[in-house]
Amino acid sequence: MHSRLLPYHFEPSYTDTDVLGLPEANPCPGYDILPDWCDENSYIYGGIARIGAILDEERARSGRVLHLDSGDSFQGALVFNEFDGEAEMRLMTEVGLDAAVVANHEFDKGAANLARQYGAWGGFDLLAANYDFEDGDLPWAPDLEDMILPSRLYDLDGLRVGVIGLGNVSSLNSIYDESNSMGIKVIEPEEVLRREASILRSQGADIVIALSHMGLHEDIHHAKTVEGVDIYIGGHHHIATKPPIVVTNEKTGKSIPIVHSGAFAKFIGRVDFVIRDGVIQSFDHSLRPVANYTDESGTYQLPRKAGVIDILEEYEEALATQYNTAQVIGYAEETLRRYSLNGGDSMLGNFASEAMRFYPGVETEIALTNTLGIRADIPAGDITVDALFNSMPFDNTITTMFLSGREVQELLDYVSNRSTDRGCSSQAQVAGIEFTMVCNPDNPRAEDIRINGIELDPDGTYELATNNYIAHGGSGFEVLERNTTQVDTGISIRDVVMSAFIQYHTLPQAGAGVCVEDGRITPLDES
Amino acid sequence: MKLLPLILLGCNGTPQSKPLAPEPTFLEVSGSLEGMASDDTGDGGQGVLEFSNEARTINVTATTLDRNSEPYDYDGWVEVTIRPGTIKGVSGATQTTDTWGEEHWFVQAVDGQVSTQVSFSSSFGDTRVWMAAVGDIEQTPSGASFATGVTGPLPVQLPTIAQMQDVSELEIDDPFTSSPMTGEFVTLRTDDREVVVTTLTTKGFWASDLGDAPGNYSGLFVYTFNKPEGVAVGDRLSLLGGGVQEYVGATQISFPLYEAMDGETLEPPPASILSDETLCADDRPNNGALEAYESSLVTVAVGTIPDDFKETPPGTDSDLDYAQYLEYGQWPIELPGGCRVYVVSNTTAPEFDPVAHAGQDVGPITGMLSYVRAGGHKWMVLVRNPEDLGLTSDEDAEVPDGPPWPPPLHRGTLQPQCEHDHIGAHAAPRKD
Repeated sequence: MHSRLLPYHFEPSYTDTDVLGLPEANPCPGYDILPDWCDENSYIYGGIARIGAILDEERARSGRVLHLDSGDSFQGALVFNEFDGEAEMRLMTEVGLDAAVVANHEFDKGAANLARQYGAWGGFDLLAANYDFEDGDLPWAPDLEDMILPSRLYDLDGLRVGVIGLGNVSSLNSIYDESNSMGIKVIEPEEVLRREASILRSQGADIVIALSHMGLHEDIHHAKTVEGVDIYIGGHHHIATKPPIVVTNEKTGKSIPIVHSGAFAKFIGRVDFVIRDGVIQSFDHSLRPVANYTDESGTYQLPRKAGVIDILEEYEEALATQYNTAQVIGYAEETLRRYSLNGGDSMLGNFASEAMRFYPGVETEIALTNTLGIRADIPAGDITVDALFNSMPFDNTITTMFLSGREVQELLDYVSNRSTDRGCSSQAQVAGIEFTMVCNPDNPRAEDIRINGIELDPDGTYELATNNYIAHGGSGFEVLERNTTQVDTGISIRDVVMSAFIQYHTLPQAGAGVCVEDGRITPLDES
Repeated sequence: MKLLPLILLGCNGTPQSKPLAPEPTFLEVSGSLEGMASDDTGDGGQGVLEFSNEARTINVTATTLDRNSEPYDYDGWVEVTIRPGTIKGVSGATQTTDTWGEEHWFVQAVDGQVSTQVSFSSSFGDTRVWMAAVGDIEQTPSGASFATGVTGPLPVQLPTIAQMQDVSELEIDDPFTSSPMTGEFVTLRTDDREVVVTTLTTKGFWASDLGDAPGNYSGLFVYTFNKPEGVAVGDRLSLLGGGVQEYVGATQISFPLYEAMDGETLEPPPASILSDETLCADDRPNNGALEAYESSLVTVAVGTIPDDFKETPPGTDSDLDYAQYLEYGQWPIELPGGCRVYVVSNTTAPEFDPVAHAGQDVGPITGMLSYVRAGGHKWMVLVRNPEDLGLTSDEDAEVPDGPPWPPPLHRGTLQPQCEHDHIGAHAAPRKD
């Protein structure tokens, strides 16, 4: 049989420009925007309404189509904080999604919330073969056990396509907590891949797809070692593979493509297969930006899907009323960056950390927060409430605790270790701390640590303000997790930063050293 | 309001049904390479073709079929593509270029039959011509079924590093020249080649194919994001593949897959001393010649740091190279041939301060040759260590006689300049 199969993938955050209605006068709204896109013709990008229109267009120029999503649809902007994923579920259903894998951010408001939102609004398949919710003592477990399928076989006009879900494990710390509060029993992925692939093949699958949120390295490993899967469509690391990675399976000798299509609804990946007699003859891939573009005939404005707009407007109005999302809380004279140019401290990181430690009621000597807690730059121009929510979507609070000098050393050693694995780009932002972050794969470490200008005293005691996510051991911050002096202040970090924007208004203030990179973290790459 | 899932037909194992696709439902496609006796690709005992960046022609025929595999009388357009590879031309075709700059080739099917000749290049591995029924390309909607068929596999050798990068058939003096395989995920030929890791860096490594002499596109940068794991200088590679990219003008492969052969090491190729003619042509960088040395270890025998490479008085425009040096770290040298190349040493030989040597002759300078198309077009020599600048870390060493560069630094000593040499002459092998 000759066929053409078109699985899409995107790891969306549907909630940027569309839901929040950023004014078009602001040329660079939203997440992670590529500078080249930030011109007068193509500054609008992303958004589920535009994705919906592109999907309709792609379906119209395709034969057999399957639309897949590799997870993390929850979290990213104010609409999630307020509506707990209801909007995302409705919108993914509206665009005609066939299946999504369950990923780590789907649990951001708990497993019960996922069950509630999917049960109420989900019109697509939810897949994860490596999760088991058999714990009947947890009220949501039976629901999720029923809702989340290990795999699914789709019949596309005689072509049978099997899809196996692989949920994320590495970023779900609660799985490994003693409490395992979500009740997820993780099954070894190679085992479930082989099992599900075998089941699907026995049911006549012509092609088997692994829809994964395990991460790129895991996908490469599984493609190499596990037989029975024809392609991996993955997410988690926000990587866009163009072209796909092609791995030779060591057991079958088959070429297995691995496709990741970025994040934040910036791209739609398309993979075309030609299959004959159950064997993939050839495949093709493209990665389409969700962006307006300009060519010789002028600027092409991406259309927006009408049904999606109707849903969006419900939430947009509610948010605008409740949060006054267009309210201006400051002014950015240039883009306020969440990452440093050299891998050290960043403008927004310094600003947020300083705001945390100096906030009334917090008032600690030092502060530290994880860099990835800040998800987007603040674009130049008026700083609005919705820009702040885009940048800091997580509902984290400030936790204070006392650390010994040795624990501060251990904490910063860990930061250096984690940063070494990420291109020597600091994975934490600090206030009241200066140090050299030595990125040495064999001996990552922090050196020359000074606390408010004074050399670190190993026997000293320091009070730290941090966010409750890493205080609970998130992102591997075990030195914080085990601390028994923790006090969760309940103070929202986003509120603290908002207050600081209002206080300082115009940023950066180079003379006062506010919202500037000042070299408090000096990366030294010895890798 | 609760929305039910679109289709709920049982659990795992019960297929979800989609609407029937329009006809034709598939295309029976066959092809034969021009000049070959076989009437089909792949199955005719042709063996494996050599890789080539030059055009070849394959004769392709297709028949459109209905869902019962019977001939279907289709009169519409068929799009012709090739995977992997680049189409150079399709006989009798209409060609368009889409918004993303990609070329498309369409031929007309008459009574369900298509016959055409496809000219292609840069294919590798199992190569197939795709044909897809796309309906009426001038109408929206097109009425297409998008039924697709492919030829049997035409087996082609994997490319060597040099073949992957070789632009000699193109306008090589164009600084924007890129690999003919840009955008492809390519597995390079290693099994019968000696591909060796030549230099490690914090973000990847360089590899060279010893089967091609330096100056023949034999070097390649492999971008790994972090320090590459599992390889060392001198390792022979049994696997090397990745997505071919032009990163600000320099060819690299990213998201690489690579493996070193257990216990098998090779001597990396020595540095090539670049002649004046190789470096400069008509008082500007000789892009065509330098391109062939990209990602190889090279030595520039002598050059002069410009006089004006320094901070200018307040109120005056600063030297552009100096301004870029402050921001990015590269410093210029004027070459006897009348052009400039740049040196990057700020992280690998930080003890050398080029500003302090403005107006002085420097050399020899050794490093990996790279190219950057940002802030102007620049050929860069990426110094690997202080020794590449002639510095040594032996503080007790005596300062030999020689030109006044580099001067005794806080932990450096002078080494004499090498004799100026020409292409093909190699500096002494380096031990890393």
